Amino acid sequence: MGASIVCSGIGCVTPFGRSVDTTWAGLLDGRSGLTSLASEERFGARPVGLIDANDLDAIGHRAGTVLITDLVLAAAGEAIANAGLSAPITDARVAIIVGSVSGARPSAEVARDPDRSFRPGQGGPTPDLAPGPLIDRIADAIGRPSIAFTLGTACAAGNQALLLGRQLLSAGAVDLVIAGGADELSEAMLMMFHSFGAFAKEGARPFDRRRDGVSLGEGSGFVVLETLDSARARGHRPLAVLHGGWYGLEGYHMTAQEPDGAGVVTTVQRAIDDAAIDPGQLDLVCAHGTGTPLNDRAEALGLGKLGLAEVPIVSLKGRMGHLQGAASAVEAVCCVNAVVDGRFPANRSDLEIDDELDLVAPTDVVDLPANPTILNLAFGFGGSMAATVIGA
Amino acid sequence: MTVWRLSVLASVMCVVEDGSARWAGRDRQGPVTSDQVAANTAALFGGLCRVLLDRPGLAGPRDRLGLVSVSDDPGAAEFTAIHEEGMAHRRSRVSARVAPLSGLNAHLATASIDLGITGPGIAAVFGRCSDERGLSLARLLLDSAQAERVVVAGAEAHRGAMYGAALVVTGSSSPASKEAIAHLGPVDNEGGMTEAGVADVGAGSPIGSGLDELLAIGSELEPGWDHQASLARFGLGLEVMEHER
Repeated sequence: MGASIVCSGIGCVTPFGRSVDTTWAGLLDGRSGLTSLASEERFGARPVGLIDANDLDAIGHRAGTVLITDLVLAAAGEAIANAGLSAPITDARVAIIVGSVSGARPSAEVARDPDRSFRPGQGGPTPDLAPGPLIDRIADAIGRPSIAFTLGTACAAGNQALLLGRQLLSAGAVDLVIAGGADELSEAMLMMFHSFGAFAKEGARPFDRRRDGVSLGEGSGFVVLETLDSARARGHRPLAVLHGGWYGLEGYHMTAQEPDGAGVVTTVQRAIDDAAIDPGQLDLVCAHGTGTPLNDRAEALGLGKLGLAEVPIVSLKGRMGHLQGAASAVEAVCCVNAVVDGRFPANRSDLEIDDELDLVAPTDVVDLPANPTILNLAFGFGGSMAATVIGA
Repeated sequence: MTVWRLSVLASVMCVVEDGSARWAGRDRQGPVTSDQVAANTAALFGGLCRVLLDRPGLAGPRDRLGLVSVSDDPGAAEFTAIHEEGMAHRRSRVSARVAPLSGLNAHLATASIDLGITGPGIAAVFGRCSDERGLSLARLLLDSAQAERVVVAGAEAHRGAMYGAALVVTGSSSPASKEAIAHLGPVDNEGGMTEAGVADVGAGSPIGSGLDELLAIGSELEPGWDHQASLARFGLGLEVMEHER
């Protein structure tokens, strides 16, 4: 694809904390980022990945305002600083791409009916949802972008945002890309999973024989992308390389993957082809790993068909929940950080692996080899699929 | 002026009011069956794609066909209505079915599943001027060789009516691609990233031929909305593309 595209900075807000460091510390020490939902009467006391109220205060979120904007600004701001840049960026053509499932709708729900909030005191005046003020806030903080849009490809949106950013850089359309995803928890989303019977009773258990569904969560994750030449020119040492990836549609079902893993095969094969690597070079798979019986089986089958059953696979969704449109973005942030740190967090420590799944799912922190290569997978409702290959 | 190095293979536009559909460019598309009259914008989106892809000469490898769905305010009207119904029934299956798929993702999914499209799909919310920027994303897919042809389409519900338009484009690498992609911005050009959810930010600016009809209907539905300018901008691009066909 031409120029090498590098990851120059990362940032995130997750149920573990409001930075990459706090998130990484939480993931490495084996804690769970899941907490019980307060509104038990509606959904039962089911664990979710909720951002701590103190962290929301710290990132400047105030009741009656749109939370997703603050999540975007906090994570993107951290990524920009981590990239050695100062916001607002005024001397480069910038693209910002935000993957999201719900956008600002959860804030609108709460504004209309404060009883729907999971956070006390979150009601208040109807937030201004008009694009202008929100864009102005982001533009003021980040620098007026040349290109800005929101991606609505469900849970694959974060990965796809990175890949579209890579394409824009390769095409020479922009100099810098800030790409990722953000979503807040909403009653509508909880209702949907509850209604599907896919809302895990005791927390998501990816790859576990007892797995019974998803633990929803909220968060944001962003990566600053640029060409290697650009990073070198400004004397910045990149964190990792976005070797390539693929995004596409499965065309199978509104809410289910092909059970035999055909979509997984297509996604992974095309991603590694685009990255121009051999499957044997993969050191770890950061799974979509939702914890539903179907997803995990399809993922294991697909990877097995490609001869990747022995590559360690980790699902972070068992640790901090499924962060919706932010999921694969935060997971990409973790992949980049793992390249730097040389370690990758483990699956849930109480994992009792499903014997029907032919895979290796470590329950201890994974020590990566030098210059590792990691595959990050994402599959969304409606058949959206996206995979990125991140390495040294 | 941006030079669009894209060729339009086919286009169609539809407005649905009171359960009946009016199609622009229908004589070019052949008869429209009742199942193509949409029940929601996702179905309308899928119907638009079907009308286009059923045309002779447009059937081809669906894994090399890209889908770009653009919108100002994806599925907000349906989301709000269905969500309210869902809230009333708490565990409503209606809400469960539609809530997460009410936006652009549902558009992609409907067309992809119904028509067996397994190429790249992009669901992008730009705010206004989505149509032109959707074409730029198509350009990106074509230039990166991810797709041989791309359907760019928009379908929106607004104040009881639905609008939809779609076209199939193809193209080849050209020196102009960089400029075309750059046309995605800037953000202060009446658009950029929108986080609008239930905000009433207006109807879309659909794509395709029969612009006068859409313009008239749109002006009736939303006096004061600048359809003229929006469509004129698109018309400019369309004119260039038609010229290159």
